[in-house]
Amino acid sequence: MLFQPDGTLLMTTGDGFEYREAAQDPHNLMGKIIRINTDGSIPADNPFADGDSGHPAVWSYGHRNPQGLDLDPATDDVYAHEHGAKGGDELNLIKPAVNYGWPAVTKGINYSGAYVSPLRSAPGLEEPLTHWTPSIGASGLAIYRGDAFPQWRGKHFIGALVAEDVRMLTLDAGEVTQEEIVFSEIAARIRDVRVSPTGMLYLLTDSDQGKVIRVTPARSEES
Amino acid sequence: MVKTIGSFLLAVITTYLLGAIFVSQGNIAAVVALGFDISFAQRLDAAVHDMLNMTDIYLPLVAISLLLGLPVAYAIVRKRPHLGLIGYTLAGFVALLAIHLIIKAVVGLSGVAPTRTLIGLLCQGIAGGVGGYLFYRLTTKLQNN
Repeated sequence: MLFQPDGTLLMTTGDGFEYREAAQDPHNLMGKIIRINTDGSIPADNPFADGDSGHPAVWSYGHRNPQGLDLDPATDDVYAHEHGAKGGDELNLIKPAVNYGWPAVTKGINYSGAYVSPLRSAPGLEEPLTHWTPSIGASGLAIYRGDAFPQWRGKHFIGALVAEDVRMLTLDAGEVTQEEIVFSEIAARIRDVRVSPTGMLYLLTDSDQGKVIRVTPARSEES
Repeated sequence: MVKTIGSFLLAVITTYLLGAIFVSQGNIAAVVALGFDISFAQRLDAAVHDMLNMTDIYLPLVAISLLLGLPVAYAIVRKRPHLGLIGYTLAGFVALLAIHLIIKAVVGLSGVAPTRTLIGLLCQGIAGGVGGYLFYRLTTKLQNN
């Protein structure tokens, strides 16, 4: 979930696994990013607000299993990533009424080894900014705009459950230009990544003995 | 005995290949139903891809299914020899059908996506039936020789 500066709330939904084709149906709420007002009403400027060509709450569609959603406060751009099946984890720039492809187009395959679809791209469907095959198990997304780590400003931090590290992405003009693997020394499944109001980075590990790890600049303390 | 095992392995491979093709075309049918065009070359490529890449999970499932199903047919056919053809074919059909239904019942999810539909499930049964039929033909031929 993500509250936007305009006061609306974005929420992600999965495809329900057995019902994956529903992600392509704008009238169905599975496999979507939906946008509502905080009182539950539908914003008048939603792309399908009239309900004719889609559910009024739908903001974008064709998603499989979103696991991270964040807004870049410098640009108001919204980014989301999602799990593919076997491969095909994606990072996307989220735009209204856009179809992100699942399950008609995907970079991954079924767990059985079979294609989900032979299509890797198709006209009218949005391509991911980047994708991961094999899957890293993307989980949690934080866009850094704090002051504590000036060298990180604008970086996208994405936790990785399977890869057991954090991916630090550099974007330039809407394209991922660099991907660095960081915090692999933690050697744990990273469930979530957040930035505190004071600019510290927080990592949540996923295990019976899971930890919240605070990352601070050397010789500096969060007040 | 060795020839029976060889016949079984051929039945498994045949069922696997046919089943993988059915999975391929079932998945493609779902994409086409969403309004996307898939060329014949893409269908062919998908079939080849899936036949080569479903060996980790699907192939063992096919082998286990027939390993459980064909001995049942053997036990029945020993007492009713005239049921040989239908017995082994039906055993293969039911074995493949059953394994998918059991997976769905136990895990709550479909092992391969096309079995979410009746036609996809029946196609898996047909693949198993062909395997059972082939096993019967091969073992009968061996006995006659």
